[in-house]
Amino acid sequence: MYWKHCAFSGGYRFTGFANQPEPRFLPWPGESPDPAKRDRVIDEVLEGLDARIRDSREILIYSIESGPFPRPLEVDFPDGGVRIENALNTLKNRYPRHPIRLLLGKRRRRAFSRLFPGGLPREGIDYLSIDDRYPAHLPELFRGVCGLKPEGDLWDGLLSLDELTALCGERDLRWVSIALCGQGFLDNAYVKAPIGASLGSGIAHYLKEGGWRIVAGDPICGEPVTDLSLAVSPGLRCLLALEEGPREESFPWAHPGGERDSWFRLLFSSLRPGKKLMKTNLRGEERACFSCGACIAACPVSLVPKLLYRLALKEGSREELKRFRIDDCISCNLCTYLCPAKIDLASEIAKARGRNLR
Amino acid sequence: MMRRIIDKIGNTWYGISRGGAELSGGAPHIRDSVDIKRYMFSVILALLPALIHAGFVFGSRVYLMLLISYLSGGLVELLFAVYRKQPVEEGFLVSGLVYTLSLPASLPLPITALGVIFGTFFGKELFGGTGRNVFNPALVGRMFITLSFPSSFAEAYDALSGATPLSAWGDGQLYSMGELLFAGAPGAVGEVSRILLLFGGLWLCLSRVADWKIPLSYLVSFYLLSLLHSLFAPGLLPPPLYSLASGGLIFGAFFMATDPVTSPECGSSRIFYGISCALFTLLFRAYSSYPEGVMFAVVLSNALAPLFDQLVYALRYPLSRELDT
Repeated sequence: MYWKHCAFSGGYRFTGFANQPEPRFLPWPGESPDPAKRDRVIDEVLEGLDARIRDSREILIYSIESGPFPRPLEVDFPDGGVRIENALNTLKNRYPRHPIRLLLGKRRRRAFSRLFPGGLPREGIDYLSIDDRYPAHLPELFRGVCGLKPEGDLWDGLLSLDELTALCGERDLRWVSIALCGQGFLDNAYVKAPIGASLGSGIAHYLKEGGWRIVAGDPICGEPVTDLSLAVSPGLRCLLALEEGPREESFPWAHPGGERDSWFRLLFSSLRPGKKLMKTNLRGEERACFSCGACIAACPVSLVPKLLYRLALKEGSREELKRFRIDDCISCNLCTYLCPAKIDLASEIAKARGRNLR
Repeated sequence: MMRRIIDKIGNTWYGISRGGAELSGGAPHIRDSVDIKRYMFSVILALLPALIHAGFVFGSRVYLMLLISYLSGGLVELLFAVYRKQPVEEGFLVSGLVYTLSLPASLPLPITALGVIFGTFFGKELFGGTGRNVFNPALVGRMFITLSFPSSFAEAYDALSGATPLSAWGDGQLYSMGELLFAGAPGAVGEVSRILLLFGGLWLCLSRVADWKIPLSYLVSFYLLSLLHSLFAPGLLPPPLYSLASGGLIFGAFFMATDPVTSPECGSSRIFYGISCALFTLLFRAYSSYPEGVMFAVVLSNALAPLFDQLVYALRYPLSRELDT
């Protein structure tokens, strides 16, 4: 089973499910959560958001489609932009001293134009624009565009569109719609899951038999889900079931690659956007670095990942790592994703950064 | 010992023919479809049209030379793989092809074999194998036999159907640009099909296998330096455009200088590297007894590659006193 997505700078960008022009929702077959437990989770989320915004000096709402699985806006806002507009008005009334800025990726700006045929809400809101190149959706990267510093209270004022509508009471926080993606699911669609319910009780119903790697989030930075008894959380928007297991391929390097994507333009896949195959397979074996320079060319924050990796391996001094700006790494994992020698640069760099901070 | 060699050959074939058994340990959960095998294979694909064309021009001897190069280079790789208890890597398939295409077609086969053995042994394996070598192994082997067997090379070039473009210019003749690009001008095996090399090289750059900065800076700076040189010392070099299309310059710029292992790592240092290749090529062509200088220029620039990287790192990441605090 495939799902539609188009290539982005080295990975995938989900655009909807194949043969599903309109989002399709599946029923939740699992258990219902304990209402008291669910309300406690919701209260905690809302209190956390309110505390953050109160402590901040300005509010930055962001919506950028550069991640591998950004959801179509129509899924969360089927009735147009009314709820976003209401949420913005509520926010202005509730925090009148906070300047509000709205950062939109170029694709989201087009989607907003569809939601607001009469024009975007303008009063008291500054609009900023950003290119949707991966990984622009990571706050660590767009802080430069908005002049935000990583430390201090400005950082607290970040709100995603989900958080905005939740905070202003324009989203029913008792439910979350999760996109079920990947070959491991019987049907690729959205499921409306109750917050606080056991994830496995509903998801297992749609999961095929066999070894699948369940990932919460996207395939580049997502967290593996090893325990399906966990409760459904408000932030869970996408679940992937990727093919797991050592399935060998004959002459994998000689395949034309219509269903495989690559940063290198050697494959025909770029001529065929849409159906792409995702596996947890390394698609090659780990070798010594041969200095192809792909990690350097693709690094969104202009670091030299292979140099940092080398320093990380030999446990380079704190000064040395700082000199080569290890603290600027945003852990987008792009270097590991596209390394032809299949070296896990990102995790070694992250380990070294952790050592450096201690 | 024999059993280990047979096992190694089996493993090599298995490694080439099968793959995809390893899984990603965590995020990123998926990986790019290109691995080193596909990367290397694409260089071979880019050179294949030039090789086939050379087969038409020089006959089946070209393929025999290639076979000898592969067998000799493969043998050295195999012995080192057995010694190091590591798999045989497919780098020798690329360097063997580049090496063969840089030779004159009637070079004696034992010399062909000796060059590739020397290049693989001293140019690659002594440094630790693929990814750790400082010099391009194909060029080390080619340089060794050029300096060791000058008379064999002279005889091989004499056996060509006519003078090579650079020696023809020395005799007061010039080939037309059409002859230079479209296989009218004799030369080494790969040099007779410059237009096919150009297309292959452009494809490598477009597909990001070769970094376009190296061939572009090499060719543009060579053209500009030749132009400048002709103003101050006219008559030492052919006209700039003729120089650009003659000898192994196109082959060298796209397929020798772009070897990722022996070229610098950073984009900006790769521009310095291209300029250095151009400068050395010009100096060798104008002031040495060898009419062709690409091979020496690339090997010398290989030695300078780490220096260019250090220079760029020093400029981009200056040492600061604040770091000590």
